[in-house]
Amino acid sequence: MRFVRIVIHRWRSLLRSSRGEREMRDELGLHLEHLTREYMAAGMSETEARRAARRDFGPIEPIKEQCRDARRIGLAQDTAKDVAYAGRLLIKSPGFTLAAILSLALGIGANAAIFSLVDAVLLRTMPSVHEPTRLVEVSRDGGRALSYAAFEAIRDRTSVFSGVLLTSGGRFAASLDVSGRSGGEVHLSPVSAEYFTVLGVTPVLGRALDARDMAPSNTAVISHALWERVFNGDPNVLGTQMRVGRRDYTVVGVAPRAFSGVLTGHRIDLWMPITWFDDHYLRNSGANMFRTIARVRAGVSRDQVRANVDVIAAQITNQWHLEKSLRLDVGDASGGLTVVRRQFSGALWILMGVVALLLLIATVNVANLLLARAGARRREMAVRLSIGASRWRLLRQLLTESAVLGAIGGAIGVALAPTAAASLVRFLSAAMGTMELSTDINPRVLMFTLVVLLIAVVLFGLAPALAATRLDLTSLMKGGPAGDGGRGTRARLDRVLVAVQVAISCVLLAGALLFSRSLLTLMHVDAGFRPEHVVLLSVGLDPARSRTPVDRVRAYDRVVDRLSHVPGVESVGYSSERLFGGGTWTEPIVTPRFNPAPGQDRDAVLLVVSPGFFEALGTRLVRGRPFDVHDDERSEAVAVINEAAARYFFARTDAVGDILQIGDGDVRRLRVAGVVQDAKYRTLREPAPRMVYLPALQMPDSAAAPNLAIRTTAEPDTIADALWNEARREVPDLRWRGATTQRKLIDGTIAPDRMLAQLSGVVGATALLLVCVGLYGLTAYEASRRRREIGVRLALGAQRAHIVRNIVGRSLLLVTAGLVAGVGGAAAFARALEGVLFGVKSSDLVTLAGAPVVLLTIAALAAYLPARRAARLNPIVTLRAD
Amino acid sequence: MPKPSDLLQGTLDLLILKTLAREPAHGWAISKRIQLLSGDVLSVGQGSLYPALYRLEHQGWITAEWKDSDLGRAAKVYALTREGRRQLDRELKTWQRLSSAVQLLLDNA
Repeated sequence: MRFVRIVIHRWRSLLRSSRGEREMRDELGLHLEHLTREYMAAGMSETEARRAARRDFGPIEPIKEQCRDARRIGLAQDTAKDVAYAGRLLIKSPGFTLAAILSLALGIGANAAIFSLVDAVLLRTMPSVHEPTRLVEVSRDGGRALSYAAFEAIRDRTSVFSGVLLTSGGRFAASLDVSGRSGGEVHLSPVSAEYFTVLGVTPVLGRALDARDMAPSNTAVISHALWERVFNGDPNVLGTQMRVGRRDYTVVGVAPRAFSGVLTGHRIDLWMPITWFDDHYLRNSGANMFRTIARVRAGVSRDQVRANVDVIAAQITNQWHLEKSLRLDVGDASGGLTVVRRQFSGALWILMGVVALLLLIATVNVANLLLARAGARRREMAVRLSIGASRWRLLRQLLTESAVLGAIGGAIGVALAPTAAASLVRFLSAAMGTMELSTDINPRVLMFTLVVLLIAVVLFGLAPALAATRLDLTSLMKGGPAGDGGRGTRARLDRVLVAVQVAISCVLLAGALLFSRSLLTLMHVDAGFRPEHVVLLSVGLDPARSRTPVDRVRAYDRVVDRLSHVPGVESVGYSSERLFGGGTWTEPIVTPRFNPAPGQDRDAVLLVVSPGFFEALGTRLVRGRPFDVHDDERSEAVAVINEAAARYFFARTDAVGDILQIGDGDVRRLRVAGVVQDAKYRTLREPAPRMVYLPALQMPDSAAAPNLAIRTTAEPDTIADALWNEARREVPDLRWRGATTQRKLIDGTIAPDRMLAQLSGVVGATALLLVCVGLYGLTAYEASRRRREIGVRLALGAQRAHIVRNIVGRSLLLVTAGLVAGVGGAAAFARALEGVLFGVKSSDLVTLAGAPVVLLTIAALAAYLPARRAARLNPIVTLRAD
Repeated sequence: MPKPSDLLQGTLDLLILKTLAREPAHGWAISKRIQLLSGDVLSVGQGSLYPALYRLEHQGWITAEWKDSDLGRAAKVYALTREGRRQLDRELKTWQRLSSAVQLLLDNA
């Protein structure tokens, strides 16, 4: 009952506030009337009585204010009023409002964009997968792919996983035809029998792939999207034949709508049995090209998983007589495979920090703008305080203004974020192939942005509000000039804030310089070959047509021969793996001169190549000869090694004519025919590995699906299709496995560096701009405050140049103070980045000196403009105004 | 006029509730009645009376109604609610405990 009455009462006081105000006035008026009557009864005249009553009653407004407080209709209603008032004020000073909102929109937008990317790449779990948090990826040391044999060993020996699956390390593109109708290009991923069970994904139609599909069979599960796009959601799709590439497959199931595979950002349209790969790749324990995801048994701890995986790794090492013991990594796979995450998590978190700093600068900017306004509003505050408004009430109103600014800025920022995030996805796409990441604003991103916004609003709103309401009423009301608070809080605080801004932007600028220098160094690293103008065509042959391995290689050689006569083609070769393609085949090497200590690394990377490969890639021959057409299955087994291998295994570069052996078991003896220069293999950061090149005709098994490297004079992108058509004319059953360029592959490995350099550059420039605005504003404000003093000085004959120097000097003093802190911060930042940087020391002088010099120069300009304007004032006008 | 701070915080609520327990009254009447019944010892300034009335109404202990008054103008007449009566009992007990404790101390100290 009481509750109901209270609710009704409060509701009414909210709704009918104007009536409440009127009633309050009437009630107090009646009291006054009674008081007057009393005095009249005591014999006063009505006028006298009225005056006495008023005197008695005292000021009426504070009582009303207390009554309002008591009713506590306050909060909601006052807030509505405050918001309206704040809106009017903001519209009245569009310059201030625009500057503040833009600063905030920039800061919030950048944070929301980067976070939505962090969310998409690092935080999101796979949809429609059962308990994704219990999934882990088991990979070789450093997150590298592993072989089919390693997968089998893990699957059969584990005691901590309830299931282990294998999938191709990437996806493959193929053309799709359904009963003569083209379904366009589709992306497929061959997977093992355990794939759908381990993930806990149940097809919405038909069945999942399982063990019976693995004794090579032409069955496939299609994605929900493909089902709708190509089959129009036909419920009778099961059993339909489709032509994928050059092979026929039967649809046995349709995956759930949300499931798009385990390759983060890369949608899969078709899942087919792992036997899609030529048997060669599954048997070769050196073919590290697969990915493994395992489901951890319930109740098993991470430590137990770690221990068990270590045991398995040791067992594999022993059983396979590996020289270098195998190390296995275990990584969280709740969001899918870790490749993208491993490559980008460092860069993304750094960017998150960088945009947080940017937001801090923007926040400080807004705080300073608010402080300047607070100075101009001292009178208003003083008047309101003296007629009985409580300080809390004023604080609330000022904070409401900040909140309105924050809400508008934040809304614009959030609205812009998806566009910004989409352009960030392009960076990822450059590295990982086209990425389909949803960077929509989801609840988590929104939550994050709201929290960040709230912190920002409190940060920029509170200090100025406190400063604005801490007033010495007496001196103000006595009529000191408004806004001339002397050396009040405002004067100190805004100077400190600008110094803080300078310090932070110094850190950001230094970061941007470091990243760009690191990127430049990376881009100018000598790769040991010339990657420009090289088209890479990955091909295969239809296994249905029986050929001996040597015949297959001869077919590829015919393709090479045909392509080398195409106009615009300079040279053609092929290799078993693409440089910078991610695949690696390593074997231990034995030479007569090389006596490794037990456990010493004696691995080299093996690459099977055609005779034209070195010329096509532009790798220089140092000694001896390259392969030629005579290095075939009947001639002596030969190898070409690189200088690193020559130095390591022969202790000299001239190893031509020497003998080397590959592997321990069935030993292959090879004579070194030539030595080539070192060429980078996996990344630009690492030195070139020891390489042993083998001729394709002598290793035909390993050249079953080669990658053609074609050096052209034309633009590589435009010529790929023509080259493919030409190749098909030579060997009609040639299979397409994809096309790219050597440049793109290399760029992919430095995509995070490029992303960091470009984005931190943008952020650094923005920070610089914000600092300039802040410093300009501060200098202009200080100059206007000293207008009288400047006027007097000028009147007394001071030089204008001297006054300009004086004003600029005061501002640069601040900048210098900020820079001292900033350089310290930049040095610490650089040290933290050491692992990310390439070829740039953290104590890099160019950066540590460059950032402050740039800042100081621009700051001087930002301070000079308002100073010059102040010094140009006509002293007579200024002084007369007072 | 005695300053409102002469009244112990919380005592004012008690006085108002007690006054209204007899019969409903408007603000002026309440202040007059307190003054009268205390033999002109206690005086409640409007500066504390009205905020207190608003607070008590807000708490649901008293309700208000506009009625015609002796001056021919509508007056806001306050009345005790059932919860207000209970609150009055509680406050009375607190007061008696407090005052007897104070008395005890004064007698024995």
